[in-house]
Order: sequence, then C-alpha cells, then structure tokens
Amino acid sequence: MRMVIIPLIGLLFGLAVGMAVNIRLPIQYAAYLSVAILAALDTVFGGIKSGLQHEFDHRVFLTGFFSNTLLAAALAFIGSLLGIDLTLAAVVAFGVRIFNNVATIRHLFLQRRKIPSHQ
Amino acid sequence: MKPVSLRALFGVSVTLGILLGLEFHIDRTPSVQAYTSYLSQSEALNAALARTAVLTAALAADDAQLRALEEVSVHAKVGLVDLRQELAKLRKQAGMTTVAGPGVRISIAFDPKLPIIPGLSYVDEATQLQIVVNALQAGGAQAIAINGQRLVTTSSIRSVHGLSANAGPFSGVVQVNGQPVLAPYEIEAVGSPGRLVTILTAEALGQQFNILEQSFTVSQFRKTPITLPAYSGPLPGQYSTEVGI
Repeated sequence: MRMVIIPLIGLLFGLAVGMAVNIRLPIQYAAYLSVAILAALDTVFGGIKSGLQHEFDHRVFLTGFFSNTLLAAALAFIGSLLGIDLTLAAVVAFGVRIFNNVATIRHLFLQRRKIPSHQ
Repeated sequence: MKPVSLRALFGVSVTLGILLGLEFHIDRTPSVQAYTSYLSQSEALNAALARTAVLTAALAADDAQLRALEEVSVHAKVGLVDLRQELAKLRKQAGMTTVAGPGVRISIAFDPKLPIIPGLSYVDEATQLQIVVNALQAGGAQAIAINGQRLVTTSSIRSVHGLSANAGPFSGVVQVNGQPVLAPYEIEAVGSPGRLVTILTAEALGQQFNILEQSFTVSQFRKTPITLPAYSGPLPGQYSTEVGI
C-alpha cells in the first residue's frame, strides 16, 4: 500500500511545485518537455512492474529515470537540429514500452488478486 | 520494499510531478512565429527572402511613382505660375485692377451761362454719358471711369427719373454699376490723349453738351498719369450657385 501512497503523494507534491513556480516556458520547449514526461512515465511504470515482480532496484530505477528522460529530450533536440522529427521515434519507443509495462502490471495484479479467468 | 527504494520512488514521483506542472507553463500563444526545427527555420528564411524580393520590387515601383509625382509637382508649380499670370492678366482685362497711364478727364457740369434749346425740360443723362463712353471706347480707351465708378464689360449706366433736384434739363439721377452718381460728372479714360481728344472733337460732343446748358471740359494727361480705380462691384455669377448636375 505504501508503494502506491508514497508515489501518489510525491506526484501531487511535485505537481503543486511545478504549477506554483513562476516561469513561462516558450512553445519551442513543449516537444522536449512532452517527450521527457513520456520517458519518465515509462520509467515509473517499469518501476511499478519490477516492484510487483519483486525485482525492484532503486539504482536501476533512478538511473533509468534520469537517463531516459534526458536522452528523450536530447533526442528531440538533436532531431530539431537535424531537421528530422526524432520526437516521433521517442514517442513510439516509450509508448510501446508503456503499453507493455501496463499490460504486465495488469497481468501481475490480476494474478495476485486471483481473479479467475473465463477459460 | 526497502526505505531507499521508497525514497527513490518518491523522488521520481516528485520530479515527474514537477515536469507535469511545468507543462502548464508553456506559452502556447507566442507573439512571434515559433520555429521548432531547422527545416522550418530554413523555410521561413526562404519565404522571407522571397518576400524581400517582392518588397524590393514594390519599393522600386513606389520610388518610380514618387519620382513621377515629383515631376508632376514641378509641372504643377510651373502651371500654377502660369495660371497666376493668366489670372492677373484676366483681372487686368476685367477691370479688377487699378489702371494708371496717360489719358483724359472730361468734366461735365451744369452751366447756366450756356444757351439751351428752347422748351427743353428733360435730357436723359445716362444716354448722354453713354455717348461719351462709346466715343472714348471707339478712340481706344483702355479703361474708363465715371465719378470713380470703373466701367467693366458688365457695367450699366442707367437713369433714375425724378430723384434729382439738380437745376437744368439734367434732372435725373444716374446709376453707374448700380451706384448713384451725381452731377457734376467726371469721366476719366486711360488711353492715347491725342486719339481720345480727336474723336471727342470729331463727334462734336462738346457742342452737344453745351447746347444742353452743360459745360464740357477735356483735360489731357500726357506726362502725368491719370489713375483709375479698380472695379469693386459684384461680378457675374457672384450670387449664383451651381445647380446639381
């Protein structure tokens, strides 16, 4: 239960801090931020999955979170320099990973709750 | 789950929350065009270059038009000078300016010493003055005035009967340019004094006035110029208004 409550509190706290900060970001940075958020979500879902599988390693989790986030933003930035929309590559890659992670989480959750299947 | 893992999870959640919160601060209504890629910047630059060529052509066209307008303006200035000269000439011809030059002055006054045609009780003064004016014009007078009233092409010399208390057959009131003119009369004319006197003599106007009990004296101004005033009365069309077409 703590594994759900603590991240939720942290998310709300971070959301409040992010909204409270007085800053105006130009539209040029929207793509980078969006891709970074996508990478961060992927890492979070990956962390939840590994937590449910009892394989959670905070080092892997932290390094994965920051490296994925920064790499996604850097990829989008390099793409804009090269004139190639590399944002799409990051969106596709992280999107697939998020769906896979969520599917695994769903399966693990169903198995843990012992919800019988129709078969 | 280990406490360090929970702290890591908490830190990541906070970071993710901050990222999500920053998403709300993105200014999605930029005042200037945003360039999200190098290609879009290149396209914008190409478009700007193309627009520069068009604007340069438009600027050249505007410059040409400006030069044309300046030339027209110069012509207009010359034309304005010509028009002003023409106006001055027309004003002079129309009698709107003072005229000075050699000429004659004819003084017509009642003189009881002169004989009069028996039984004559009334003479139309306007007609008599018109005869003198016609003779002066025939003699080449450039300008004529009766008692300071300048005669122009629209001038009139009329008799108003019965309003004068003057003695003699000249018993009316003459109106020149609509203004009353009383005897004695002084008719001034600018022109060649010799020709004017000659025609007055040829027409025997002096004798005609003398038998009407009027003295007829002609003074010549050869070296000393005689000055005639400008016409100051109403002009044709002054009180009329244009009817809508």
